Amino acid sequence: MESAPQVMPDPMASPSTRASSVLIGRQDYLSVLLRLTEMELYKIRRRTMSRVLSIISIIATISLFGLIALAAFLAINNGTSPENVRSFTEALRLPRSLALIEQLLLTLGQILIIILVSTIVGGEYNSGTIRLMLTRGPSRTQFLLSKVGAAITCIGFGVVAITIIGVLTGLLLNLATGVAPDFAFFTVTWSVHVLLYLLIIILGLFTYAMMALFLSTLGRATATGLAGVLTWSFLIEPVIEVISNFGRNISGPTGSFFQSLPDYLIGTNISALLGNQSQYVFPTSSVAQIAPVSDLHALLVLIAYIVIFIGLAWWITMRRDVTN
Amino acid sequence: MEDISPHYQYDGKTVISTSRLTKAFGNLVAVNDLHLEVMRGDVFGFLGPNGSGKTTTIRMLLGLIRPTAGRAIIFGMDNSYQLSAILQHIGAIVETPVFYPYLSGRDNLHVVASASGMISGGASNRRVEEVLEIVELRTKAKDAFRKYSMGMKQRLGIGAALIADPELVLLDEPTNGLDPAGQFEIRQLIQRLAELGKTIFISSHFLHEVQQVCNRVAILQKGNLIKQGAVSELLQQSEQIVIRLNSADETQQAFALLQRAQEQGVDWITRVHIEIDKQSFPMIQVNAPRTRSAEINALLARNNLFAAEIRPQEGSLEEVYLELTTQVAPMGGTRPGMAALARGSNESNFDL
Repeated sequence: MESAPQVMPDPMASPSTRASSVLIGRQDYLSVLLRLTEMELYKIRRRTMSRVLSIISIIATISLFGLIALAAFLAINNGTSPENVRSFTEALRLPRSLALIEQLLLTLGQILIIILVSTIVGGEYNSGTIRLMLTRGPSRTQFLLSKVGAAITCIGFGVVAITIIGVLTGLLLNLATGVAPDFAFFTVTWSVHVLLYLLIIILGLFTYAMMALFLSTLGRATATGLAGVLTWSFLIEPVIEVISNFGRNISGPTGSFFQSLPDYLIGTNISALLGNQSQYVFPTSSVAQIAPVSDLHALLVLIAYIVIFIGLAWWITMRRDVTN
Repeated sequence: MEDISPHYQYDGKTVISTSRLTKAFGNLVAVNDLHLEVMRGDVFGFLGPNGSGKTTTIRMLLGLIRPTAGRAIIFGMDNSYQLSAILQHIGAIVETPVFYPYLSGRDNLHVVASASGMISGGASNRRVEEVLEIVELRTKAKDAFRKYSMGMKQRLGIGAALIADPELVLLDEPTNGLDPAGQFEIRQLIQRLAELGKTIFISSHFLHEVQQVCNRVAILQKGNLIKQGAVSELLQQSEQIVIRLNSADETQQAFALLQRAQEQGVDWITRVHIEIDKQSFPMIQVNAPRTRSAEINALLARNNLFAAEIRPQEGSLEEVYLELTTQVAPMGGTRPGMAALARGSNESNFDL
């Protein structure tokens, strides 16, 4: 009869021989991931670039509202009627100020987030710190997910901070116009829709951020992520819109296909979600618009983009030999 | 054939065991069929010329590179399946130490500590300060990494490898860029770590340094393992006995006598040759254990040859390394001149 193989006691289970000042935290998957994400945020906080991006976004927000306030002030001095002044200064007050903030976040904010995410991913390859991080214990999946976690944290924090700064700046500057703000719209339902509105902005920025994550991982460089997403946002998407317009002149399935292309672009679907919310957030404003696609379609398209970008970045990270 | 499976029975002694570990980059085989064994408590030297596959091997052990074939078992775990668990017990430097250039030395160690699983807070701060003290970077801890000199970067790299007080420390060229005093301090540190029971794996070009600190070595050449064993055994194999006689004639007679002895089956004489010393006087060098000096003296005396001087000459790892790596040349030939050049003397087929 075969005897069972002798199993030696597992020396790895023996009491730790580490120095007393080395306290190892919980090693379950989520704890490691949270710790890594905290580490990413620690690095981001200490970068000069992060401070510069924050300052740019704050200055841009204050400047934008400042310009409107200045124009209103000049209009008042020129003897413009109070009704016109009220209409002109609507952007300084809630809820209209949220539309201005949205535009700012989805243009300048998008660029700044892309710069940040491209840097935190591509920078690891540029400087070679990828091999420092991948030899510490956490898995490659956890390493990648910590970047995703840091990105969503920065986006969420940034959107909330700029919104608060923008709203407060607008209200403060509005005092100089002499137009009293009207808070009749301010209900619980309205607040919920504003929250959804902000979450959509976060989702939109996150989608572009994940594109940057994927492209920086693929190209092993900050520049790849940055150039790729900017090219997509400011060249490819507009070109597809043009092609779509061209499709209206073509009959049959080909024409239908061209016309439907924009329905699958990131920008179109973000606009659709925002547009569908705007009727609730701006109930009496001309900002409200009816979107060409439904919320469900838009959500599914954006989620699909996010899954594809993170999935591809994960696949590349898992398979790649780290030789730099 | 050794059976390596995911249910490898860990004996508690073998820290690293590779089986047929191979890495090919296209047609280039960087590491070929490597069987390494590193025991617990070893200070293991990993030697080889540039391009021999040392760094590729280290990268495979750390999971940075996927092997083309074979496997590596570390602490009884297959690193293809349990890499995260393994890495928690390893501290490593791979090639030139890299850190975040915009962070200070201290901040970089905090990042590494966090990534290594340490809880941030008081204990982690204390550990970072301890490590900065060990690698003598406390006064420069606040400076950004991009301002560090090569030697400071190397120290910080060693600090990062030690931050979580790992059981296995993998150091790739740890004394690169350090001045002689720094190299000495790192050697002292390695010896202290070994005394604490750590297993140290060092890849280095500095053979005299490896000879001083390592107890076992492996030598790679063009991706192939050409020698692995205890340093003491390798040095014993390269021990020599140097004989000086009183005239050129006597030297020639003694040389012929010893060659005959070797041909007639005295197996502890592996080689006999004549070299010219710095005073241009011929000396006979016999590759034999130093304990055989008396026998050689007796043999010469029986033939009325009386040596002016017989002294043992300790082998050096450099000699062993050069002998081994020049025996296995790229196209299968030999380059016998290389070892002689390295010894810094004139060797010839001396014909008196």
